[in-house]
Amino acid sequence: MNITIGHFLMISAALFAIGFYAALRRRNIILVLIGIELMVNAAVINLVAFANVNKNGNAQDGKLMALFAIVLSAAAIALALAIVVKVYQHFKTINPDEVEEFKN
Amino acid sequence: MNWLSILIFLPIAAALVLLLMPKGAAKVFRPVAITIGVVQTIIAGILYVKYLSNPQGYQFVERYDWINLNLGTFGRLNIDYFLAVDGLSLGLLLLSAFVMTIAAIASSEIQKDPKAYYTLFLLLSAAIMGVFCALDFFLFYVFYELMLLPMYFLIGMWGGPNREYAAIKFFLYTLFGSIFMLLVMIGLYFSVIDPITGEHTFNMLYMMDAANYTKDSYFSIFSSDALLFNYPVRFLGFIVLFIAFAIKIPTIPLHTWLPDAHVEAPTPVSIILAGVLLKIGGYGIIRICYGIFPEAAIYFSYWIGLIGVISIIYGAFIALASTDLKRMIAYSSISHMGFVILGIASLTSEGVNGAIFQMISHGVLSTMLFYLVGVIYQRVHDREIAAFRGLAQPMPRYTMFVVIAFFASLGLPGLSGFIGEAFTLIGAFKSASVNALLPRGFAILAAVGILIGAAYFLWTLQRMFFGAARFKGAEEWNLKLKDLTATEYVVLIPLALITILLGVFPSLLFDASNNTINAWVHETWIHGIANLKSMQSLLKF
Amino acid sequence: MNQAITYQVDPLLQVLNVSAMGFIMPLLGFAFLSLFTLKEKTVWYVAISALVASFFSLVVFFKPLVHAHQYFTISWFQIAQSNFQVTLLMDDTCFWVLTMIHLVTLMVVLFSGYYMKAEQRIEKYFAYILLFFTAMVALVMVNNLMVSYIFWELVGFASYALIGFWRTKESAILANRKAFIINRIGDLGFLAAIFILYNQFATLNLQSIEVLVQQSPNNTTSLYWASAAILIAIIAKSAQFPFHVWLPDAMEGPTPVSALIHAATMVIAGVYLLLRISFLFPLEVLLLLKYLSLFSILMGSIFAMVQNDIKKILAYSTISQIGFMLFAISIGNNQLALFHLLTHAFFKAALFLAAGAFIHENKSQDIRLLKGVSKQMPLVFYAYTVASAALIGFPFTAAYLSKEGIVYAAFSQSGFNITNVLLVVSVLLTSIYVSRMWFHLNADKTATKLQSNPLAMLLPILILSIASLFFIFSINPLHLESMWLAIKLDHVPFVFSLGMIAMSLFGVLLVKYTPVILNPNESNRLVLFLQNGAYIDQLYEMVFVKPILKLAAVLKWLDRHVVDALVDGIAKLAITLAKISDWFDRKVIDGFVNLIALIAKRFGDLIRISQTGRVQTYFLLALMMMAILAWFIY
Repeated sequence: MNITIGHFLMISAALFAIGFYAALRRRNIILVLIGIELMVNAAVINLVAFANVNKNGNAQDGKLMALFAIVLSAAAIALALAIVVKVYQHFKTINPDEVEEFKN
Repeated sequence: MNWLSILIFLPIAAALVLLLMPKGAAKVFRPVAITIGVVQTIIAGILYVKYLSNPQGYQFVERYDWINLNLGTFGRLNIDYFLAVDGLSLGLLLLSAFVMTIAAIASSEIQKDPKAYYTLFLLLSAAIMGVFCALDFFLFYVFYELMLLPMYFLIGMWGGPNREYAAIKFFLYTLFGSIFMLLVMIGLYFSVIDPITGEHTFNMLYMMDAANYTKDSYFSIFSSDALLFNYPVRFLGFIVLFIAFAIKIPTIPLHTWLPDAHVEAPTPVSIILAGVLLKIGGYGIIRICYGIFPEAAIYFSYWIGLIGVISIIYGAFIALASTDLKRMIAYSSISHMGFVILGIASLTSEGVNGAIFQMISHGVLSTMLFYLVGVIYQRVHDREIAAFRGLAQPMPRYTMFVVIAFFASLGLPGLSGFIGEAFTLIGAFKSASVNALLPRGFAILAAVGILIGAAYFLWTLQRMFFGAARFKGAEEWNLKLKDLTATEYVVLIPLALITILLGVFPSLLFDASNNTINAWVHETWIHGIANLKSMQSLLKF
Repeated sequence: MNQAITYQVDPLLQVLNVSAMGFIMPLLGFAFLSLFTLKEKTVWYVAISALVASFFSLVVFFKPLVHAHQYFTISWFQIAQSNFQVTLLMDDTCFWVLTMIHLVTLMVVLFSGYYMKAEQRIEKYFAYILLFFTAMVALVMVNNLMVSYIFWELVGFASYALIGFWRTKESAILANRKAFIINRIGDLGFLAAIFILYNQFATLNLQSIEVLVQQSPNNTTSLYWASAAILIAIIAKSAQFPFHVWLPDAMEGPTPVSALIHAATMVIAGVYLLLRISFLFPLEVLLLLKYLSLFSILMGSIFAMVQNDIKKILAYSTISQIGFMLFAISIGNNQLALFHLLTHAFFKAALFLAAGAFIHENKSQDIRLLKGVSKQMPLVFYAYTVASAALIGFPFTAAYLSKEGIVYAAFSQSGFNITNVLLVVSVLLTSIYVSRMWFHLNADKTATKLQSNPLAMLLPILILSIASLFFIFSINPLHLESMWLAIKLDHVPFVFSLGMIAMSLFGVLLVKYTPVILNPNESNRLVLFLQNGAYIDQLYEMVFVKPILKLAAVLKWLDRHVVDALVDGIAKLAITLAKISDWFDRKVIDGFVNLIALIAKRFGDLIRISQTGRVQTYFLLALMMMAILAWFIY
């Protein structure tokens, strides 16, 4: 069986859907963050997959972009986790439904 | 020296000083007010003596540009600061200064918020002086309105239980009059031209001369179509001004504010009201209504005289039926001021001189009467006639002053009331044969008012002061009803002396007023008849 | 008066003259007494010395000026072009009336020292007497109607104060009010006359008016009105019908006051004024006066016949006697009127003072209770008898001369007619009421004699009764041959005199032998009617006083409930209008604005639902927005 670009895209779409669901529905903010991370990873898979398909330009561009995205998401996660710690200290919970300070 | 400006601004300066003083200095407020009053009286006295040496025309004139605005297409707005007095206003000025002094002395009963009280009091004093001195209509109006405000507060804040009603009534009545006065004043401004500069002017003396009206202005007698509601505008102007001043005097049927205001006002305010403010009505009619619209004055003199006669009799009858002493005196004021109207309407020198004398005499007498009411009200807080009987027993000296005041008011010769009443009536009677303005019956009917006057004063004397002593408050009142105190003597003795002095030497006032009034009567008659002739075409309705 | 000379002397001399006339001393006395509270004796001395000083100046300064018929003129004040002056007149008439006033006042003040002993406020009493005296003297001397009016009212005021001197006595304070108000009606007549004359002649000086009247006799209409108006003043002041009602009531005052003011001086002011001004009166008005005065003469004497109060009898007698004086003027005999005025003053003052002595010692005014006074105080009673004889008009009294003169003048003028017969009847009636009084006072012969007769009581009564005798005025008891008075009377025929005397005697005998007259039956309707003065008082009360008070009450009601209600109504209307516009403003205009605001709010609320405050919702929304955005781009 020949592995085509379509297979990569299906996996990343499934991954994105799983992440999307986790980010919206989970009651634990850590799992929400994991969901977001899954969505970022789905995007990174797409980047790597399209890098292989594209023959016209520089073949390394897509891989470089993937690496950059991984680093950025790691930094963002670190910041998000720090906020989560602070939120926990303040509200004594990490359930996003109970944190309604943004209202009003 | 700018004597008149000093008279006006002295109390204002004193009021400012009072405002700067701490509340704790309440003790000095009354002495300050009294001092100002005394100084004003002395100044007015000096002016009076100076004037007597040559009692002709306007004197002590002060005239400056006050407001001079360029209004573009409307031309320039010219308002002068123009003060002067003549034989008509001088006596009233002296009376006002004197009455204000007496009122300041009588203010000892005021306990609530003395600072505000005396500030308003002094402001009122300034406004009153200004009204009698101003010869610029705008300036007159400013002072006239300025008088209203302190008076409203003085009644409304320091008055009796129903004071707000009385104060509002007073305020609305007067405002009603003065708003229309404002209209006429503006109309006059746009009709009259200063013969020297050729610009519009508020100067009353220019308004009195028909030659100064621009040809087709509203108030010009030469304009052929000066009709409003099919009526000559000048006549309407006269009526409106007359109503404004008739409210002040007051005449029937515009009098109902007076009894309420008097009954509710504290003693010193009643004194000012009766002693000075009512005179502004009479002064305004002579100076402004008759001065500016002589033809309307002649045209309506029958009705004006009738109003005077009805006021005399109506006021006397209601005084006869009154059960409250202060209300009785208030209605007797209406009756006595009716003589003023009648005298003015006669347009004879006797009548108008008598009217001025009557105003001054009534100023002194009503001051005395209201003060006398205040004396017993302060002691027992009651002034129902029926509550007292035989007051002469505990208070013989007080009764003596009451007898003087009552007999002077009912026109006993030798006291001031007689001269004024007699000469207004002589004038009214003479009018029929001199200028045919009033029928003779008016004088006779008004004389009946004198009779009823005697009835109610004597009846009150008999009921309240004579007989065996018996009071509503029984023993408690017997202790409270002490004879006069030193302060009360200080107030009453000068008043009684002036009453006697004016009664015996009426020349004291007539010498000052006679020349002015002779000229005034002459000019009013000449101008009035000439204007009536010019307006002949308008008088077909 | 035909050779009137007006002297214009320098002001200082004028002042001196006036003060010499004795205004100043009594006026000072008045001021002094009314301001200070003094011991009773001191008060009395002050009053007496003021009067003596005035009397002295009358004799020493005034008398020498009399024959020159002088006027002294002082400028008072000026109005229009008219100069109002105080003109003092000095002529015989003036001098004699002044002398009478001085004498009577002096006697009354003397007597008051006895009568008013130990009264409260005695200094006020004498102060008012002095005020009255000053005003009365001035009233007699001034010759200007305006100034006359002033003193005319001032004597009225003094009378008011003195009638009501006992201020706690209810009847007295009602009487003085009545006296003043009825005199006020007369004063209105006086004022009206002043208006008319001033209007006509532009002056109020009587001598100028007299000249002007003589110059142009054709302005009669105004003279009719003026004389009719002043007639009202005269009959009110002189207590003639229909204005007599105040005089009997005025007897509530102290008796010396009645003697001075309500018998001898003030009430004759009307007569005196008429003497001065009678040149104005047209014949028709004089005729009216004639009937009025005749009516008063009869009415006064008839009422006097049934009274039991000695002072009321004397009061009605005064009304009747003043009627005689006015009658004399009405038939054109001014000199007789003046003569009767003088004689009446003395004998009536004597009668009043004697009555005062009786009342003071017996504490009663009822003649039936005073029956022993002839024995109690014989000397006073003799004096009283002399004065009574004068009142009846018996020979050897001065009043015989004057009264007989008046009756004879009436007959010689118009012969035998009904008015003159009535005049004679009134002489009879006078005789009846006087002798009735006399018999009553002389009824009890057993009374004990009074221990002490103070000189202050005795002296004035005796002097005044002596002054009622003929020799004061005339050396001939049966005809006036005066040493001083410049009065010329017609010689009365002997038969006429005899008839008059017989008439008077008949009256005395009638009383003596007719008990019904002496003691009228008090249950008799007619007697009751007369005793109450024909109920004229009640009539006035019903016709004038009550309706006036009613009218006043009605006007007061109207003032409160119509005139004032109108004003309040207008104010209420304004407030109601304000309330309506307030409602409109609130409900309609504001409502519209609020509606718009409400719509905006509801819309906002709708949007607001999305704002849950939950991170995940926002996240979802953000993605949805991105999706929509993407959909738009492609």
